[in-house]
Amino acid sequence: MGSRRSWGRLAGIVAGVAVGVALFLLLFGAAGALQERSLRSSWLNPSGEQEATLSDSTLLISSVTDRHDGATIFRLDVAATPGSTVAIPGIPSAPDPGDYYASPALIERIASVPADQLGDRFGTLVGMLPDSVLMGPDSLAAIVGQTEETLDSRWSTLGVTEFTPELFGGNTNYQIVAVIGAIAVLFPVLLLVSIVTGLGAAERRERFSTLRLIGASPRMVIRIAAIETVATSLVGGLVGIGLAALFAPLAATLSIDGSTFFVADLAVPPLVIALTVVLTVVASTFVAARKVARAGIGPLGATRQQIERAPRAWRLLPLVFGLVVMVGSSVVSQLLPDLSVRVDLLILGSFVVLTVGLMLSGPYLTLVAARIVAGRASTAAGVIATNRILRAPGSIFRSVSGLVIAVFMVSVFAGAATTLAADAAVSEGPGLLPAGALVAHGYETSSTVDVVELEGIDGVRDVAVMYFTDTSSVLSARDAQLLGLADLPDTAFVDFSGNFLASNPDQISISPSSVTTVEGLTIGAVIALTDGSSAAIERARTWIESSGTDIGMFIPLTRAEDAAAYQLTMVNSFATLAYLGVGIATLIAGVSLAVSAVAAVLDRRRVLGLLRLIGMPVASVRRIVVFEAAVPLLAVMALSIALGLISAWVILTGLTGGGRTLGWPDERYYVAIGSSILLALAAVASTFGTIRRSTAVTSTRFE
Amino acid sequence: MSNMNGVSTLSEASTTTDVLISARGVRKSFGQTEALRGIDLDIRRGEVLAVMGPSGSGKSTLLHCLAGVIVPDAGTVTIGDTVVSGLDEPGRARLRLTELGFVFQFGQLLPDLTALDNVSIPLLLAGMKRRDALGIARDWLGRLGLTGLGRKLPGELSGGEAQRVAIARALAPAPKVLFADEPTGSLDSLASENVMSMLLGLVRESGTTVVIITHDPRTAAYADREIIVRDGTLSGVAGVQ
Repeated sequence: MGSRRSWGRLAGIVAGVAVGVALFLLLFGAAGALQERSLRSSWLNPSGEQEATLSDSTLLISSVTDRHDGATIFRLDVAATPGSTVAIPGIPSAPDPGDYYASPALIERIASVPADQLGDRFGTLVGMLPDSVLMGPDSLAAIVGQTEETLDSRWSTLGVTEFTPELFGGNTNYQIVAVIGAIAVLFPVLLLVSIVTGLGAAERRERFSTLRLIGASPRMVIRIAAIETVATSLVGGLVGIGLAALFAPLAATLSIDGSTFFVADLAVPPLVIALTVVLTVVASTFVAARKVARAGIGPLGATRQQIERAPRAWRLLPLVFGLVVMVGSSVVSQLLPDLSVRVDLLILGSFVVLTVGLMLSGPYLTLVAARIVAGRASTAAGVIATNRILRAPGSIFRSVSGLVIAVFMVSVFAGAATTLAADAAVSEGPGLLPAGALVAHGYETSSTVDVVELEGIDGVRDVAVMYFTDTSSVLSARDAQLLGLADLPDTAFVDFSGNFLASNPDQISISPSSVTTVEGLTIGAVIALTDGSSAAIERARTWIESSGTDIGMFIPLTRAEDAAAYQLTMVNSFATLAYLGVGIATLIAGVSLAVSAVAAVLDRRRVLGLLRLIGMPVASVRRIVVFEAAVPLLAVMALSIALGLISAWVILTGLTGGGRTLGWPDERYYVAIGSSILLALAAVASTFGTIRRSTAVTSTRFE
Repeated sequence: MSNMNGVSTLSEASTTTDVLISARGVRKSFGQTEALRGIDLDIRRGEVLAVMGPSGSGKSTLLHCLAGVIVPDAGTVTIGDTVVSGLDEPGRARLRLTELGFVFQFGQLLPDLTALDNVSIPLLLAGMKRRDALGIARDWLGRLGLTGLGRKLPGELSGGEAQRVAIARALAPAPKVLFADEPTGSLDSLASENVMSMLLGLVRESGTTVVIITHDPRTAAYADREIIVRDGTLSGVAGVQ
C-alpha cells in the first residue's frame, strides 16, 4: 500500500507541475499574441494628417468601425492615385473606387446575407486579405476603394504616407488584464504543486531516516530527494508542454477584443519553453532539497521538529498599503485629471501588492480567528482542530489560499463587469427612442436625403429627419411624435436638445420652435424607424451608408449598439475571460484543498488512528478536518470578497476617470461564490473515505 | 495446564465474581496464519497482569481481542457483563472510550495540544463539558507530578513526562481496565521505574485492572501475575493467582 501511495504522490506532483507549465505557456502565448496581432492589424487605424491632398506619396483614408447584426466590421476606405507609391499591408495595390478587399470571415458573412443588408456597402470584391494582416480568423475587415471626392467630403479623412505597425493605446489595459489573469490562474497551480510535493512527508522522512541508518550521509539523502524531484518535475514539465500544445487550439477560440486567435499566434518561442521547464525543475528541486536539509533527518528520524513561527500583525501592512495606494490613485485621478501620472500602472502595481498582501495576511487572520474559536471550543474535534490551527496557521491557510484568491479574483472581475451589464440594458418607454430605430448622423457634408426611398425599404416603417439651425436642432412635430418624444408643445416644429441614443428620457428636452420651414437647413440626423428585425436594420444601415454620409465619423446605430460601443473593451475582455479563468483556478484550488486535507490526515495517521483505537468516533475525525478548513476559509473569505469588489471599483473609476462605477454583480457571480463554497465542502468530503480507511483501528498497530 | 481438548487454560480466579475480563476459546486467524488458537483467560478485578512473549507470538492479537479492537473468529470475550465480542464497532468504540484506557509505547499524544488538553480529550469525547474536563485533567496531572507542565506541548516534555501525560489521559476517564503496550519501552531505567511506580500506585488506589504487554522482566515484576503467549497459546503462568 505504501508503494501505491508513493506512486500516487509522484503522479500528483507530475500532474500539478504539468498543469502549471501548460497554463503558464498558454498565458505567455496569449500575452505575446495580443501584442502580435495588435501590431499586425494596426493598419486599420493608421496615423495621418487632416486636410491632406491626394498624391502619389499620400493616400486619403477614412477608418470606419461598421456593424452588422451585432458584429463589428473594421473597414478602411481608401482613395489612391494610379501611380501611388504607398504600400497597403496585405494587398498589391489600393482598390479602385467601387472595389474592395475583404477578410475571409467577412467574405463569408457577405455571402450569407442578401446584398442589400451588407454587400452593397462595399462594392465589388477583388481579393481576399491574408491572415498576415488580420487580428484573428474571425476578423471582419475590408479595404474599400473610394473616389477622392467622397473622402474629401468626410471630416474623418486623413492623409497617410506609410503604414507603420503600432500598438493600440488600449493594449496596456489588455496586458493589465493578462497579468491579473495570470496571477489568478497560476497562483492556485503553484500552490497545488507545493502541496502535492509535501504529500507523504512523514513517510519520506521515515524512508530517508532508514537510509541514514544504513549509512547514507546527509548529503546523499538530500541528493536522493533532489533527484526524485528532478525526475518528477521534468516529466511534469514535458507533459505540460504537450498539454499546452493540445489545448492551444481550444485557447485560440477565446474571443478577446472582438477577435479569436490564430493558433500560430499562441506559439511560444522554444527558448521560453525550455527556460520554463528548466526553471520549474530547478525551483522544485531547490525547494525539495532545502526542505529535506532543514528537516535534519537522522538515523532515528527528523532531528528538528518543524515548528511554525506565529505570524505577526505586521503581515497586514502590505494589504493596507496596497489598498490605500489603489483607492488613493483612483480618487486622485478623478479629482486631478490633469495630473500627469500613470494611474493605470499605479493601480496595477498596488493591485499586485494588495493580492500579495491578502496572501501574507491570511495566516495572521487565521491565527486570530483560531484564537477566538479556541476560547469557545467545547468538543474534542474543536479543541484538536483549533489547536492545530494555532500551532500551524500558515500551513493551514495555505491549503485554502487558492480558493481565497479565486474568490478575490472573481469578485474583481464580477465587479468590473457590472458596468458592462448596466450599459447593455436598453430600456424602452415614453421619451425614449424605440429599440429598432436606426440613428444616422454624419450628414453635415451633405444636405439632402431621399427619405421616400429610405421609407420604401422592406422593414422600414417610417423616417424622421432632424435639421440644424444656427442656434438649435429642429424636428417637425410629426417626426417628434414618431420618435416617441413626450410632452410635445403645440407648434409645427420643436427644438430638440439631447442625444437620440440616450437611455434616460431626462437627457432629452423639447421646446417650442420658431422655425416654420426646413428648406435650406442642414440635415443633422436621419432616424429610420424599423420593425426591429435584424434584416430591416441592416438594410436601412446599408442604404444610409451608401447615401453619402460621413461613416468615418458616424456609423448608423441603434440605442443598444450605441450602449455596447461605449462599454470598455477591456471590461468586455474581463467578462469573457474572468469566469473561465477563475473557474479553472477555483477547480485547481479545490483539488489543492482536497490534497492538503488528505495529506494532513495521512501525516497524522498514527495519532488519529490511536485516538480511534481509544474510542474516538470516525465522525469526530471528520469534524476535525472540516474545522481545519472552515476556520481559515471563513476568516478570510469575507475579506477577499470585500477587497475584490473594492478593487473592481478602483479599476473602473481609476481607469475611466470616474466615467464608470460599480453596480450589483449579476447572477454568475453568486453562482461562482456558491460554487467555490460547494467545492470546498466537496474537497473536504472527498477525504472522508481516506479518513475512515487510514485511521481504522485494524490498520493501527498496537505495538 | 491443559483441558481435555488440549486447549491451554489458566486456572486462576478463586471465584467467578472476582473476574472482570474473561476470554473463552478465543481464536483468531489472519489469512493462513493462526494467531490465537483457543485462549481461555480470566483476569480478576483490580489485578495487574503482565503479558509476555516473543514477537509474533500473538500477544498483541490477544490484547486487541480483549480490548474490543478486533473481533475473534471464534470464542467470546466478556468485560463485566458485556460480551465485547458480540458488539458492533460503534459499540466497541463506545466501550473503549468509557470503560477502557490505553497507554502506548510512543507517539500517542497530539503534538498540537498542550498536556492539559491532551488529557482532557477522552473526557470531551465522552461528552463532558470542557471546563469540567480541564478540571479533572488538571487534577490528574497533579497526581502524576506534572503540576506546572499543563501548558507544555508534547515536544517540550521529556520522555518520562510525556508518558506520564499519556497515563493521565488513560486514567482520567476512570476506566475499569487499563491496557498498556510497552509503557516503558522508550524510557531509560530510572524513568521506567518512576513511571511504573506512579502507574501502579494510582491503579492500586482506584482498583483499576491493568493488562501490560512488555518484554522487560523488570516491568513485568510489578505485575501480580505474568502470562506468556507463545505460538498463539498461553504457555505459562507465574505470580500471584
